[in-house]
Amino acid sequence: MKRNSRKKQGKRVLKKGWLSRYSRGVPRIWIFWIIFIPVLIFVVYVGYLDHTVRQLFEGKRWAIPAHVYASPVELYAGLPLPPAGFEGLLLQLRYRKDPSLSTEGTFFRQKREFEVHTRAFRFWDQAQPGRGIAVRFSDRQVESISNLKPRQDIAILRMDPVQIGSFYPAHNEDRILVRLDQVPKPFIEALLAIEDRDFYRHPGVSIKAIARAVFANIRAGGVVQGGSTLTQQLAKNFYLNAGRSLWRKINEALIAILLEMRYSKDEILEAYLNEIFLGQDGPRAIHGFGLASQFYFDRSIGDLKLHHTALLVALVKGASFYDPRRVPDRAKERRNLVIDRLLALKLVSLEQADIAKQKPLEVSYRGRYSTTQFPAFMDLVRRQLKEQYRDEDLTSEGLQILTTLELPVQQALETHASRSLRDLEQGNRLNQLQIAGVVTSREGGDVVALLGGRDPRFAGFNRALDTQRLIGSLIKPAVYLTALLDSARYSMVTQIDDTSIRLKSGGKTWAPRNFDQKEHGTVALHQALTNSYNLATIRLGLDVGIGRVVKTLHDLGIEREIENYPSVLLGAVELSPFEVTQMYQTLAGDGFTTPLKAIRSVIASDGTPLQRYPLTVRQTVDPAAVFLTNVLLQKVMREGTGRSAYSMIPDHYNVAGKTGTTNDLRDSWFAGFSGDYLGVVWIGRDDNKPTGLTGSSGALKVWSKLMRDASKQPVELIPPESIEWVWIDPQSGLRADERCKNAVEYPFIAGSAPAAPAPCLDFLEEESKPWYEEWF
Amino acid sequence: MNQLRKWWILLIFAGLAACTSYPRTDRPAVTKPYEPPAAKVRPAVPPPRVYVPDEPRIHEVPAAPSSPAVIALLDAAENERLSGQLDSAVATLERAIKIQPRNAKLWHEMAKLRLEQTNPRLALDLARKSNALASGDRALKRENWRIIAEASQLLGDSEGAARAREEADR
Repeated sequence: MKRNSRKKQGKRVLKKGWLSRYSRGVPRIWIFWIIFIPVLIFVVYVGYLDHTVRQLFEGKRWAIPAHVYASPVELYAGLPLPPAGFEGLLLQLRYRKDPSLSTEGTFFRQKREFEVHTRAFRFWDQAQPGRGIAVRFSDRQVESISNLKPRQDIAILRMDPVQIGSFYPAHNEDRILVRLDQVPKPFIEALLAIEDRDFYRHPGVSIKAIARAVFANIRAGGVVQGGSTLTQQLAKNFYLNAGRSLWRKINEALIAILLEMRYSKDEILEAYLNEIFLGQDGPRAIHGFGLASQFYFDRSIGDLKLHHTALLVALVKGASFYDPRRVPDRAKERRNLVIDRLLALKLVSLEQADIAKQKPLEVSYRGRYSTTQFPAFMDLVRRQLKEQYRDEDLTSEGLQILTTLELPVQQALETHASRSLRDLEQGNRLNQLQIAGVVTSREGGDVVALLGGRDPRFAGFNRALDTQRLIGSLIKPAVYLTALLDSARYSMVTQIDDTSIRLKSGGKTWAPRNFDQKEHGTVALHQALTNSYNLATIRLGLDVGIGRVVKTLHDLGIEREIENYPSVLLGAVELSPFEVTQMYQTLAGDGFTTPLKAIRSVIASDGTPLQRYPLTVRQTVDPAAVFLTNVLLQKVMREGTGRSAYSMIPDHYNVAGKTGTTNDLRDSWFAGFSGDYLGVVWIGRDDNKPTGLTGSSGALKVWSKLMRDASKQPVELIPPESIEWVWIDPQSGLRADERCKNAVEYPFIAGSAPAAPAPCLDFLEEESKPWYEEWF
Repeated sequence: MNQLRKWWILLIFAGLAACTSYPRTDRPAVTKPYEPPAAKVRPAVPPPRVYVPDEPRIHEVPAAPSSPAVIALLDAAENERLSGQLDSAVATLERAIKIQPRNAKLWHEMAKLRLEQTNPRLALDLARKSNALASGDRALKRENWRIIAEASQLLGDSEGAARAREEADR
């Protein structure tokens, strides 16, 4: 206690002496505050910085965007994939050509035979290691796949999936995290040699380095050299905006010292390796050496050679200024300077340095920005993920999201959409056409391609999901399906009047017409749909009951509320292309509804499987009636409004579908399926003005070309057990047999075929009496 | 005499019909179990109208999975099932279905797995889907009906279960 008071006294004495010397005439209390306030502010500020440092170092360090992948390609003998297609896939996967297959992600092609060192990938169900394989091709398909060592046939192999994008946080930073022990020692040595020789000795700030920089700057008459340690650079990258003010420098130094006090050298170095800015890829900022190795060389950091290492280290000084893709000469000069420095420090031998300096930059080709490649599809993925994940999870947790996108189909859709729109505009003097398209796998409802507008890279209004347009005749299969479900009353050959009709609704009279403005008299049910007759459809729909048609629409998967108006029968329902796809998915799937999905699985950054979106089906419509409807949809393509498809699709290739056109040619629709894919295409204008296109002259063109390129299996309908085939006399619509001239065989739900014999049968019965009966 | 003229006309028609290599049929591309035509004694006047497809058929629905890739996946799924990794088995079967989406056997296996996972609602629909694709494969259909019966029972639908059992024993 005593000692304490003496100490205080001593302090006071000291203060008194000090103050009295410098503060003659100024009130003491003022002097106290003048000194105390800045000190207080400084202490509070340092405390604030320390808090921020800890928050950011421990939090933000691990903010990894979610990476989104396309559907992996399964390789197996018989896969319809030509050798060029496989090479294209390898390039999309950013595999390098390397005859020695020295690292994962390399390949070597000899005409129709490939040797590939595949990349490891953690799938939802299993971790697949990288391995050496040989793949042999014929002209059009995979002939065999075998393991290289030991040589052994492989029945099926899942390639690693192509990354199609990421969900970035607001600042668009991307990185692949590396641990310090994953980074080769020579790389660390080279980095420290160039950037911070005293790293393991200084306390965050190096007086020696600053002195050196100040000297250089004075000599040059401006700021030419920085004296920043790695820790200071980390501070700069971590927390501060660009600029070179003194205030910033002081801040950096303070943060660097705080970092050194809080964390070990290795922790700081690891953070630096992952944090440093090393390039720009469109809107995406490349951070850390892990991603930079991939971004520049398509290699993992463990696979870098000396000349790669030197270039990456060279880029630290200015990733944009030395951008090896934009200014390769400047980058190479700087790289070789780094190599010389390593030689001077005896970190590499003269021979190694010479070889490395002779090497080209070996920077891989980079095409389009990966963030904006498929904005419409990514939008769908994000919407479906949002049901389970928060925004922060998507942008910071490093999730791996495996989607259903099939790149060849997506590319075919984009190509044909843009070409067809251009041709349509030029050929018909049209403009401002817009387009949307959805392609799904016929079974399973996987969304394999999605197009939200004519510019596939533009991340704007997603018409595939958000535009709602009248669907016109696309609704008709639902009307006919509803009738066919009632097999006691309707069959394929039920006679319907295609004659004018007037309907009163809400005090107004509605008199629909056929597209060709004609009436066709009595027609068979199958003819009415094949030729998309409006009048017959209205009459059929009214006979069946609008309410029942609406129920069918819901059973087919339309969730939106639909009013019971007669105009619904001609498609006065506004739906998005995505909703139309859901409706036709149930037809293509034999009456089984399967929700459309864009995501297959989500995996945590450490490889733990988080979520799977499995295959589900629910039978909502009788498969027999759907079978009959699909037979009709095939007839539409063979004989009806869809037949122009066969100018692009081979004659023998069966497809099924329906055109849709709305009033004044405002919307051109087509929805249809092959054996493997279902596709819906819409063409129209955003201002809803007439386009001058019918379903067949617009959307069908895109659809046909898409199917020609993407589809590998034709439609082969499988009749359910309850279906029987009966010969029908087309004139009377009555039961005939195969001897009747012009008789046609139609499928019927058992018991629903007409029982009455056609006139031709009477005639034949007479004819079939033995000839001698007449003679006796 | 009148009758004789009729004969001649018919003969000419028959000749014309014989020249037509593609008898017209509206039967679309469908896979239908082959049924031998009923033996009937009829005068050999018009040639019998038989279904001649435009092109050789590609049968989407093999009786059993024919592709080594699909067989390998089926084996893998079975191994996963036996070792209790039912979720992985489901994922593996999905890969097989992606390769042969119209293979009734694969949908059947999926139904079995889902039933084992006590997901009767999905198992039931998967078995129905398998039935819709099974065409004339009676044995497979019987298996599917057994799954439907069991699933219906689990769902508390005894009537549906009884009907399904009847179908299975048919």
